[in-house]
Amino acid sequence: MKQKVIVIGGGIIGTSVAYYLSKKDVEVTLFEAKDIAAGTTSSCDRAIMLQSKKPGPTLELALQSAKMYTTLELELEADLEYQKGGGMILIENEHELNVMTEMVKQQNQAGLNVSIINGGHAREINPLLSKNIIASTWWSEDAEINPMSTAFAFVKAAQRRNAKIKLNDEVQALLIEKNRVVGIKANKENYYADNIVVCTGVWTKKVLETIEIDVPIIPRKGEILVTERLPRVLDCNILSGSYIAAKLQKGNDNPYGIGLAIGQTKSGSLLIGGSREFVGFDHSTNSKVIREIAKRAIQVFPFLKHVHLIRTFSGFRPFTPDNLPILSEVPEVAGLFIAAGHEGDGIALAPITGKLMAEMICEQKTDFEMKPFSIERFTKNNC
Amino acid sequence: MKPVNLTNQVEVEQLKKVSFIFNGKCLTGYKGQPIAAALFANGIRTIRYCEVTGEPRGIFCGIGHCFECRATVNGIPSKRTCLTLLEEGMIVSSDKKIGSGADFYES
Repeated sequence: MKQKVIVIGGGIIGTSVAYYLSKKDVEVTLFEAKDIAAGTTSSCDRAIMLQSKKPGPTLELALQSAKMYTTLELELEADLEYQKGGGMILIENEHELNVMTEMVKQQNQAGLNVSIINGGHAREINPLLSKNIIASTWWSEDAEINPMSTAFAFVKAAQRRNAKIKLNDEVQALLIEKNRVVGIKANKENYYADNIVVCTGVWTKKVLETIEIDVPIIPRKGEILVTERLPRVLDCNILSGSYIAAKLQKGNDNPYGIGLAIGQTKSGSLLIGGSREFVGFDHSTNSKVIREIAKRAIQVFPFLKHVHLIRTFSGFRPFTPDNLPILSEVPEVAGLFIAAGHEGDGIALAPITGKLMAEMICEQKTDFEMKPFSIERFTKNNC
Repeated sequence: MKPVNLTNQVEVEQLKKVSFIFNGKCLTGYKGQPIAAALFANGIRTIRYCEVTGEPRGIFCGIGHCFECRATVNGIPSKRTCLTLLEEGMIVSSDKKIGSGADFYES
């Protein structure tokens, strides 16, 4: 009899896991409470940016994932709006220059061929950049993708390999027998499987609370501004030095965690982010935050002063205390796996996450050192 | 098309005639009148073309909601001509199509 696996969650992580599982000799069923890409996957930007990743295990994952993205459109037979336009982190003063010089040194050691270019060179790449930008980092390998298209393409490709997809089907309970997960209950029906993979991002805590497993993933809200359609003004991803600081900050000198991230969609709108806030599941957008993001965007791209915003939105990043995702078997419950907690790296890490989880579940081993991503790192510290 | 005279019913002597340029053509209107109205009075109904379909666009709602009458005014793109009031020497042009490149915004 074939191994049966149930994937919970239809975001970019769950759909990727379902797709890579469908390539193995297993029966896959994906349960999604709402619709494909209905949560964080449809409320984020489009960057697959490696420069912004913390050097260490995340960066190693991201490097492999980025490589997988280069051939993903062919593999999934779909247009994902993949574009390798490069990326830059803008430097506005001497202090940022020192910080970024140090970071680039670390990235070079980690195998990222990032360089620092002067302001003139940065404006050759992006002629609309402010004259106040004194330098920037540059890496030609940074890319972007449409996250929603990618999630849908994973689903379609999985379905072609006979995976079943259940939408509007919220999982109400995990079925446990003798410390082993044996299935789920959804829509008052029981579905049995050998393995369950929980890919529910910020909602993972809620799903696993029902069996008294504590997962330290909490929502970290981000707000993004959407402009009217513009001519092609940007081919690369743009971050500000303060974005990196906000991502890794521990202090409280930037209460809304504002750091600039700009990219242009295929239809011409700019997506201008963002913020990082711990406010539970409050998804309102805050005019103070929006104004502040807009102000900083105009500082680096003065032409934006005359550009209209058409809307704003917020989304929840699945934050973990050590900024690493949880890609792990749950030791207390045999057969149960978690792939969640990617914070803002979920799009970049989706392909590698799916591949590694499929290997972990079907072959009980991977080529990658998975220990940094184990759930045990949280439970052990508490002892 | 024959010019439409929208000022028949108004106290014309209070209004000051000004000249402005639309897509390279010198036109006249009244100071303080919405640009869209001045264009309409000059028989111009197409203010821009849709970036996606290329269809002509002009005054639709006339009160700032629909954004169909956008034009570049004195170098600033996407001004709603129904809400922007005419002044002497204004240079108005149809917004350029998507893909025309970054030079569009160079000041």
